[in-house]
Amino acid sequence: MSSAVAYDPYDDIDNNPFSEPEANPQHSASPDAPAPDDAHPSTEAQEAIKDDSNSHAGVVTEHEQGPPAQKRGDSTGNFPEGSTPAAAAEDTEALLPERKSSRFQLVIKVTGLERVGSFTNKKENPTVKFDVSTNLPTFRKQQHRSLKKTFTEFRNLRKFLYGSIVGTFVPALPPPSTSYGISNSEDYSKTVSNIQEWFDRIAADPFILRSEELAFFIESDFDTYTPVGKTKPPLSGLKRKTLKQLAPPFDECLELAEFRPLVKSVHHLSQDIQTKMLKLCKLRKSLSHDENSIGQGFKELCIDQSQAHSKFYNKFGKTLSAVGDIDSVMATLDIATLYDGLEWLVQETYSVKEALTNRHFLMRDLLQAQQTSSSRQEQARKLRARRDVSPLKVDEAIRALKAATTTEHTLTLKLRRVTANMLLEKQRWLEWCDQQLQTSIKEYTLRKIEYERKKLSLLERIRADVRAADDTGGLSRLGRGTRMSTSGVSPSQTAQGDSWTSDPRSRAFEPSVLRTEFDASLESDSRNIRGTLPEDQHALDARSAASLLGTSSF
Amino acid sequence: MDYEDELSAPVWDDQGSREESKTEDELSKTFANLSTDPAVEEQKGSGWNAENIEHTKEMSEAQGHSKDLISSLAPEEDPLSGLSASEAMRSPQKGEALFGDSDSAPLESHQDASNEANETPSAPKNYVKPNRLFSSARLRRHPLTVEQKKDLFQDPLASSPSTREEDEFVEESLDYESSPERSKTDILREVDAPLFKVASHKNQSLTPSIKKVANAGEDETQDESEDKPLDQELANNYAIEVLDPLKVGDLTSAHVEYTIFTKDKNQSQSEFKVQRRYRDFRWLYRQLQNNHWGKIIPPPPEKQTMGRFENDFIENRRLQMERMLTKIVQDEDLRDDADFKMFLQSNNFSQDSKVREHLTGSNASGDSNDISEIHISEIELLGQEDAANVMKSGGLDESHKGFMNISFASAPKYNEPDSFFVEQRQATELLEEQLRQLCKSLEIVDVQRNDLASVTEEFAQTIKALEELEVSKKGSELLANFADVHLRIKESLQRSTLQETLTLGITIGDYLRSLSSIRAVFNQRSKLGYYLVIAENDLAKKQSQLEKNSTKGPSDKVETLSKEVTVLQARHSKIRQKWQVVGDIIRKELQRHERDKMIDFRNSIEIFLESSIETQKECIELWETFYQNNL
Repeated sequence: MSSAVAYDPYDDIDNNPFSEPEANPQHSASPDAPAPDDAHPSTEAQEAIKDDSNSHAGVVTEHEQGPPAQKRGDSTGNFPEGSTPAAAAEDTEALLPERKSSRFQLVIKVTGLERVGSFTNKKENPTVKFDVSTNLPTFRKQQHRSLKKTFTEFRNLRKFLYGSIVGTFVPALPPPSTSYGISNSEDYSKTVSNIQEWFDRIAADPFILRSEELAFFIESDFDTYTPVGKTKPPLSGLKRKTLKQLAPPFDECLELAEFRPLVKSVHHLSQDIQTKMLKLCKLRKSLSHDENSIGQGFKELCIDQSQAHSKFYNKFGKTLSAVGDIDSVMATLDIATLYDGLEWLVQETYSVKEALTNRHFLMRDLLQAQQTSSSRQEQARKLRARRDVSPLKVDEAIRALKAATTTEHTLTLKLRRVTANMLLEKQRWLEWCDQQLQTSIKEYTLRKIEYERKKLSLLERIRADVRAADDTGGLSRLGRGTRMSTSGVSPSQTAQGDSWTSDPRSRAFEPSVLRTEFDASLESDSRNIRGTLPEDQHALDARSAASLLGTSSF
Repeated sequence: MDYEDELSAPVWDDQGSREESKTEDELSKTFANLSTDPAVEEQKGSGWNAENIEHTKEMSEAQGHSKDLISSLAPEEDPLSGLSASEAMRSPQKGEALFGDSDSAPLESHQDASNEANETPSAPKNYVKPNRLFSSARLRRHPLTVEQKKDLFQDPLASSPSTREEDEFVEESLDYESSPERSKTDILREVDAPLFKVASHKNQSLTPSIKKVANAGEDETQDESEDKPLDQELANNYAIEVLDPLKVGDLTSAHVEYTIFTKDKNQSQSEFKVQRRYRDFRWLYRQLQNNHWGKIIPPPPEKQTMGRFENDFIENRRLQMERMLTKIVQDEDLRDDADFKMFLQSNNFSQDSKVREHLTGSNASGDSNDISEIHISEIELLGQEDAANVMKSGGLDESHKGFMNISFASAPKYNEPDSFFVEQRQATELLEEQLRQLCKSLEIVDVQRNDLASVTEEFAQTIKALEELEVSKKGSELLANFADVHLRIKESLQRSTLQETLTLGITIGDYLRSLSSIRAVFNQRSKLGYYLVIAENDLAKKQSQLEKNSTKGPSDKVETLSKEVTVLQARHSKIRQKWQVVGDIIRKELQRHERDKMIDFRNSIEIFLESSIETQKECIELWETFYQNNL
């Protein structure tokens, strides 16, 4: 993931009708295009190189989304109006020169996270430490070590990127803290990996990579970054809201037209799931509270019962309490895994949806420009038809027509670029979305399994006491005799697999499930239990230890 | 014997038929042998009773003479040694299982091990009995030959062991099939069969799996009354079921009638089917309370005015009343109570119950809500005639006031002299409070679990909705399975909740109600004590009057006074005696109750624990499978 090489499906297809084969040798030999991975240099590569060499020369404005497109549009002339889908696919390559070249790399490695200051600051605004290594010309240095940025700076950067780069889905920031609660190792590693993932996604996007704002962000001092470039968010405020109410303009790209409602429903449903989860966890917590009180009730029961059984009641009560505690832990973990995962997804879907809305606005602008230019054309024709026409007026009309046509061209091109890029981005985003969902469900499941196992081992430990509570207890009541009771006490989960099934587990057995956080409270006043359970009961034999070490834990 | 052929004909085909017929032969010959030789029978009996291995061996050797055919058929292993070994050693092994292995010697466990080794060759023999059971049941459908009938009636000892064994099984697993065919003599023989203990043990040890199923419901009985096996046997012979709740009556007198089906295997007219309503169960409780002072009567469920006709409630009540009756049956005094018998059998209950109530003065239908409230019947306390006198003057405590015509400023107070009762009473109240708390927590947890289940379902539905968007094929598959797992977990959650209410909930509920019953017993004691104080006061006053008057010389007044004093003295001693007896009974009952409850409690805890372990395993399995298949 940490590679900045963008996936380009058209990398090795050299059937561009606009290609100019005779230009190839010169440009591939050009000194500022050393790209060794560019196996099939084409016109587009050449174009890109031109672009990049421009930026290298310090023409930074070239990279603001508009100008390069315009320039390209000018240089290659008009695209055929009704391009067929096949042609459109080829256009993608032509439209998005950035996608072609993968020379530029940005590798960011998050090395640490600091939470300092007040509680809210700790929670909302942690400081991220990371190393950067890049060959981007926008950077002053190739290597940066132990940079520090606050989360607010990240937010600023993202806001700027979102405003300035229209054609791409700028990844949403991960939540600054997890539901594990701050200042514990789970939270630390999860947040770090989330931010790492975000950086990877940033580095994988050629448009973002080429934005010099990224360099400004990284090379600014700690806690000083504010967006340098001017952001002009496509539309904001009331106007945006009003326009969103209108029916979306006709979209010739069906795929994207369908994509927005899909993303929107994913957004809403994820939120729904989140609320349901919260409800579930709240219930689970209060349930665990009441389970605790049952345990307490059993503990109290022992006070006036005969001495023989009081210990048993006490232990049973404690076990019930511990089981309740585990339920509560599980509720927290559920939130921390699935809820947080969904939270990011919700943010992400929102940002994607807004990006798609921005495209709609672009389409509206284009429609308007088309209208203007056609009206200008009409005007010019009328002028031409008239006899008594002042040359001044004709000049004016022609100038206006030219301007309108240029705007229309610009917008058309821009829309094409945006559409083409979004089609690519869409695939990547869907993959990410899948991945994200799967990761969080996986984490959720693993945690669930771990704690359900702990619960089981807790319950199984009390089993012997229940059976030993009186002489007629346990299996003897079922006529199975006393010899069974000794074998029944051993835990059913071992390194050799679970006793109740012969299915092998895909993961290695973790002996930690046989111990829980609440063991201390269970054994606090029944020391003798520890005596009867030898410490090495769960020890592994050489073979299972080897298998444990040999396989990964996932 | 010609019926042997018939016996060996319908053989289960999952056993080797050759072995079958062989053992069949063996058995029949044994019985024939026994019937011809009562001395051997005697020996066998004493041998088993005393668990004397040598006797058994002798016996089996005696049997052996008639079985040389079999030994020649299977020469590689001596079936006799296997037989004698298994029979001789089974008994102690059974003892271990029943009495908890606390005193078992290591030697015995060694025997146990050797026994296991022997088990394999003798295994087919174990299954012979079910075969005989079925074939004999079939046989009965044929008309018995004259010869056989004669055999049956004239020589009961001869067939006693065989029928015993058969009947054991018939009773426990196939009640409906065989009971109508059972003749009176069979049952009678069963009742006074001296060998029943051995027989039941033998059954247990030889076919543990069958016994387990058949006996599942009777575990409690066995546990608590192992020291009085006869009693247990009798209790086991009672089968009481409360069935078919049926709503009857119109709007104003609507109530639910339950059918009580009783089967008493000890009596000839063994089956009864009567209709009773809830009120009648309360009557029974009050009546039994009145008849057996100091005894902790299994209480009926609480009264409830709202939602009386909801299915859950009716089912719950039915279960509780069934438990009440089963508990009553388990107590030998209560079982033989005339009122209880009448309750189970009378077809004209409303009349009979009134008559009995009047006769005993129990005031059973004037039943208050509180189970712990009691009524002391004067008839029961003082006997018929004296009670009539007391009633005339307005009851025992009234007689005190009535006699003096002025009510004292403070009524005499009874102070419990025995600290045991005071402590027990306090302990009971404390326990009741705690249990009530526990019960409440359980209820809350129950409600919350159900909520959790429904929210889990909602959660799963939302996930399903997300899945239906089909964002990607793989993703939606994952989500579908994820939702599925949640639905299954919801089901298992509901099941475990139900299980919890059925085990812990019901046990604690039972416990709570029996605690009120205990309080009722304490109330009886203190009420009697109160009467005792009154009687003492009366007596003292009368005596002082008598003394005062007798100093003036004999007169009519002195005579009547001295008569009254003797009456009062008699009354006083009667009450005192009752009071003491009740105290003794209470002590005994409390002990018994504590033990019973402990066993009950522990059993339900164990069931609860085992079932939650199973649920847990199921849950882990679900997640593991999900993980393996999808992630």
